[in-house]
Amino acid sequence: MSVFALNDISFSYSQGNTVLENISLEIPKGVFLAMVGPNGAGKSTLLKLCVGLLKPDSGTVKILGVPIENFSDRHKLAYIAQQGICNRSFPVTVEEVVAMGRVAKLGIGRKPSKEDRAMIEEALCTVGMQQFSKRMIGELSGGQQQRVAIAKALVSNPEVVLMDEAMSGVDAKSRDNIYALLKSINETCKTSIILVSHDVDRVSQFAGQILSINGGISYYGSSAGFNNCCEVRRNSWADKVNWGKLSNA
Amino acid sequence: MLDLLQYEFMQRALVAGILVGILCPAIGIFLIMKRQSLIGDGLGHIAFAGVSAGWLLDVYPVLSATVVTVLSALGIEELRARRPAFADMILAIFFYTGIAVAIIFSSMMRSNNVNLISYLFGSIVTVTTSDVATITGLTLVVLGVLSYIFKELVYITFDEESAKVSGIPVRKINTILAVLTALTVSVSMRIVGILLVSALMVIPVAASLQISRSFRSTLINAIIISETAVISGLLVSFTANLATGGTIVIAAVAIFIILFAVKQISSVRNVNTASHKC
Repeated sequence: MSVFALNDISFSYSQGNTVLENISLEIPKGVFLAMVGPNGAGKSTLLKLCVGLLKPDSGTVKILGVPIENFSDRHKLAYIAQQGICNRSFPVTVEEVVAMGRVAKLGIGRKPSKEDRAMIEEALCTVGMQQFSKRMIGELSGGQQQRVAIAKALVSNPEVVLMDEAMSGVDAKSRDNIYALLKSINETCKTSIILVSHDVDRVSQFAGQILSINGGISYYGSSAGFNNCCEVRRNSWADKVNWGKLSNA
Repeated sequence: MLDLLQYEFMQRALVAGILVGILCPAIGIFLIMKRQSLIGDGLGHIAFAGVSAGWLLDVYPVLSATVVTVLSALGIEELRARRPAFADMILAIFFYTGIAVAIIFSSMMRSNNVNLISYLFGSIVTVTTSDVATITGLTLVVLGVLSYIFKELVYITFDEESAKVSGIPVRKINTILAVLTALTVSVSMRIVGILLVSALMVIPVAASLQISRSFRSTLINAIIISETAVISGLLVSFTANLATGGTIVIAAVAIFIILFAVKQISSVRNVNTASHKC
């Protein structure tokens, strides 16, 4: 079964400004997929269309085999927004942030149980942040905040984790560590990971699949195949001419 | 203080004040974190239109203000959801409409406007038994609903997009928060006054943020600060014959200044200690 099935999707933010046109795509379960492409290519837009944050002008979206309008098991999706931990001045501890990941699964009016607290602790252990559980989120570095965001995503045992360019402001070493962490989560828990990234050189070392977007899909396949496109690998990913050449890859 | 409690009006004011002291920061913390601190002000001015309509139509003013503010809050939330880029402008339009309607209605009144002024500035002498009953009922409703949706509200306030993706009914909960804010404004105006109702939502939370180290502790400390300001403000306003709302808010501002200063001093000390260690 596919995690997301998009059929003939088009989207524009305003009339005459089409960002994505006639996109059809199936993303299989258990994948570690990186969506890459230049600025304004429509990567984040595509991710938001997948999860229903945006509605397509035309076409259909299915999540885990169910049309998006009828999809009710939303706790199976965990989304990490563009800024990761969006609000650094928010007075919350690491533990309180991770607990937010359980809210949808618990349901309105229900308080977290001992089991929920154990799951929060376990999620923090998975990302190596258990010793920071009582720290305020704003006191952590960018890389540490991303780890907390991942723990928040994992705490509900989702089938899919989606990250929208959440690595900005994170140094290269921490970025590699987080990609490695995501890879190990993907391999051990079989959680599908879909992330949007600017960092094509690094992310293609960790992700199994690459989806290259520039208005339409210019490459969709294994990262090994993507890395074999030497010309693109050597040159900057932001070079749109080279991105265009990928369409024949 | 016990001497003051022999007066029935003081007993009523104290009960109403304590309830308002819990309610305002409990709602205010979400408004501040959503960067909507001024919505209380906007709804306060709309409540003024509701109060003056009540006086004009011979309806219980707290009831008329509650109806008008709740309907306006629903209107503001609906328009803000449709046109988020114009959220400030939408609030401003409602704000000015409220004031304009209040001025027209109050100019149509034949009797003097002394009672209307008590709603504007807050008054402990004019709090009636019906006011206390209404404030108690509405406070229980607001706190009950708030505790029911508390964790969802915290999540939405922290990260609305993620909350939406995970299936939390963001739009519904934002609408409920708007209604709870409107009810809080209506409940609080008898004590702190329409003009200062927003201050009791914002200042105790701002003061609490100086010393708190989690969301839970921010909320608890804000309520303690708010209650300290309300009780000390009521006592001072009674003994010095000052306007209740103004005295309560100045007490809250004084607490904020003290905590802000304490935080600044301790930050400087921490920096000095760290540089000594280096």
